[in-house]
Amino acid sequence: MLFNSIEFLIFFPLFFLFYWGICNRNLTARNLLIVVSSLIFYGWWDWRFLSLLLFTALNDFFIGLAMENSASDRRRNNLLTYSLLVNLGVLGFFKYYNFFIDSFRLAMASIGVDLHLSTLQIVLPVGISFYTFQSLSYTLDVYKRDLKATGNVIHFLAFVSFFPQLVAGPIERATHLLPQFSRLYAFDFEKARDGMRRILWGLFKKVVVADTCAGLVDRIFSSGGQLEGSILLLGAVFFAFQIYGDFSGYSDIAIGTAKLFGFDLMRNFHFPYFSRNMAEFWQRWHISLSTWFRDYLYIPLGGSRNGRAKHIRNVLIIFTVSGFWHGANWTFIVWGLINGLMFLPLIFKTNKGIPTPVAGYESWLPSFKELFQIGITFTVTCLAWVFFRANNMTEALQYLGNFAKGIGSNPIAQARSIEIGLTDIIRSLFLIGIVVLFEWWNRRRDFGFDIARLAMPLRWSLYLVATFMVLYFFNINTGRTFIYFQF
Amino acid sequence: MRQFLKRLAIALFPVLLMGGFNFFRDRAHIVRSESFISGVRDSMQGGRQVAGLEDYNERALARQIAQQYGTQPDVLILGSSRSAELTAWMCGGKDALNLSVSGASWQDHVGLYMAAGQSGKLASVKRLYLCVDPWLLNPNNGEVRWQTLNDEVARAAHNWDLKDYRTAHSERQWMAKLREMFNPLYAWENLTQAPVPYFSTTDTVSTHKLVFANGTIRQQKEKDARSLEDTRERAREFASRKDLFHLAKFNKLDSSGLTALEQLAMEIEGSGAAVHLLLMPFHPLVYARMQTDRRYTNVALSEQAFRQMASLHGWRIYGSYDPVKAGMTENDFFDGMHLKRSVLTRLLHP
Repeated sequence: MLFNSIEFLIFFPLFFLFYWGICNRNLTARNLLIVVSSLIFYGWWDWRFLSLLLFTALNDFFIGLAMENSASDRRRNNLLTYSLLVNLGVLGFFKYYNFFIDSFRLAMASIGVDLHLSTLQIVLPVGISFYTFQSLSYTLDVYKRDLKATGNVIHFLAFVSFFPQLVAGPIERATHLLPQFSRLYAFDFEKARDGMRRILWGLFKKVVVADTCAGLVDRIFSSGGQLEGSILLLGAVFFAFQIYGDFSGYSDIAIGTAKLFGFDLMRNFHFPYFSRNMAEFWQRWHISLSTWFRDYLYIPLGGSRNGRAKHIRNVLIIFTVSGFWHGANWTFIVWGLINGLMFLPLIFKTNKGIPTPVAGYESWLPSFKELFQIGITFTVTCLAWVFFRANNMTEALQYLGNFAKGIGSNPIAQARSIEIGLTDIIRSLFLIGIVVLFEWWNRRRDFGFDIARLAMPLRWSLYLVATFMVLYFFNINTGRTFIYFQF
Repeated sequence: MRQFLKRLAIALFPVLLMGGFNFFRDRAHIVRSESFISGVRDSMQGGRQVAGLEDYNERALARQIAQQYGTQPDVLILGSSRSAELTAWMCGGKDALNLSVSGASWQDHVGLYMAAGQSGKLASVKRLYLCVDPWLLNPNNGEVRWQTLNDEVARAAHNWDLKDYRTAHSERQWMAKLREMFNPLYAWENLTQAPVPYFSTTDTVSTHKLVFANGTIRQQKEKDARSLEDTRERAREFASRKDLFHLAKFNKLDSSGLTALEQLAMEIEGSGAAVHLLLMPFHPLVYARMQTDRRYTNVALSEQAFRQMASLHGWRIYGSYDPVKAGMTENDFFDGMHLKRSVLTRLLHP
């Protein structure tokens, strides 16, 4: 079920009614409602994969209990290895099987060995990377003794399947989210109001901005081979905001929805395009994934502790793995690697160049230095996005090559050749401008539409305008799913 | 909680107000489509025509006509607005059931054929005229109006083992209706444009578009008399659009569409009817764009595919998308893709 769908519009009030009206007086009943509703939410897409979700969750539940009851380190190690094998095995089979077969076949072909290995027709279960990592975080935390294993299977299933963040994150840590299922909440007006604002802002970013940019991005990238110059840069910029609006929009809706029911999810985006270098960007982009890799991969590998060479190795490993997590394609691996390489110079700098928590921290506008840093970081990010968006390496390299080749060409004429009008470009830039302005204005706050401090008439006018814009664009940009569902 | 719900209600009030306004005004009869269509159908009793129909669900009306037509027709016409003016005598028959609908996709043809068949209206059919437009084979034609006929199409898909038909079925119809109720653009239309009332008449030519009880449409008489300059201007505007009608992203031929049409024609042929395929020509300016713009190369390939199909089964085929091959000139059109009624006979009897 999509957040931006009529089905969800019906599902959500019903869940709200049952949750606060009937089930919230009893913890088990409430958590059971969450589990059942989450399974309906997920099963709406394809009920057959519910068994996979339940298998992953129950497997980790019992491994957690077994670890908890075991005093032997060796047994705990074995249990963790088993959990890793099962979770990553499931993920590997559904997501990477064909990629490995194809890559192996190509590698062998390059040395003259012609293998006839067949690939499988595998449907990738929606959100598999998200819930597998979330479930895995539980066994890892229990293994590290950061968390006591839960003996309540309903609580645990609610933690793994919690519908607001089940299919596209944020990837919650068991230490943060699981204890929240052991408490009953009274309805909190402030929290609910904040949640509604987040939902509205998330829908705005997704339906108005991301889906509008998507139309242009699709045309530019599908014609990348015939275009030259700055229109291709424009395509990359539009994609940067498409994926930002899409993914951060989803996260905002998820966080807002959870707040309505008293739950706190972790922040997943924090104005990443105002970052002044790549390190800051990765502290602000898909925070739940980057901190997951930091805590469960980078630090266990040694982090920055064992000399510069190992530090570089570890950085490159987590960025490459992070790229690979996104999909079974060399483009994602290269995207991760580019981000890693752009991150490396910061290892050698003693002064990281970001003395304040956010650009323009004590002023209305960024300083010239900050503006320059933001510009450079954004440009590098956009160039890396080309690999993320392209269907294959050839397409990505051709896109970048054509961009360099015709740098001085007229982007408007180029756009017209693929039937993108000036008004299409201006409209998209205008919508992007709205998001950038709001986010800059609220950069010291939690999210871009944190407008609680405004006078009521202005605040309500903004709600109204945003709502009608969402409804208007919802009817124009119909049927677009969230990009991150495919991961 | 009460405070939250109160504020939420206030916040949603303008949205609900708009929804309510759209629901009651509903100038395009989106919500009360079925009762509106029944009213139109009732107005056709006694062989009268209906005039002044605008913004209505053509599929729903065509289905009702297919199900409730009073006699047993000997000619069945399935097509788009380009074949909507065909009559029995043009097709050499006595009684024609014309189930042509605007922008028809192959699902429309199949759905309306099933509706007519289920109601026993095909028993005496001796000739099928199947208007095969190029967008029938464009999997990205963007046409979703056929979803009105979803049940009929599903039945055909089951009978003929059409596996891919659901790929075009992106949204359930009631959801699309609900979405439209909360569309600010529809509210604006409801606010600024009054619904046009329809009426029944015995006229056979009118300043209004007429819908006959057998489904045939007679365009406004002004269209048949339209000047060459006026038509050329309209065709030029049509040809210069960003995407030609239903032909955007025509990057492959829809094989399931071709199979479905072939199955339909074979089935009716099996019951003793002769199959005739109609390739309606485009205005020369529009066809020129199709020839020069490489995005429309599949138009010619569609014609080729239909010709091959006709040749394989020995079906008769009339016309061509190419106006020259079809023997038509600019004078024979009233816009970019519609022939004047007066020349339709010439197309069928060259």
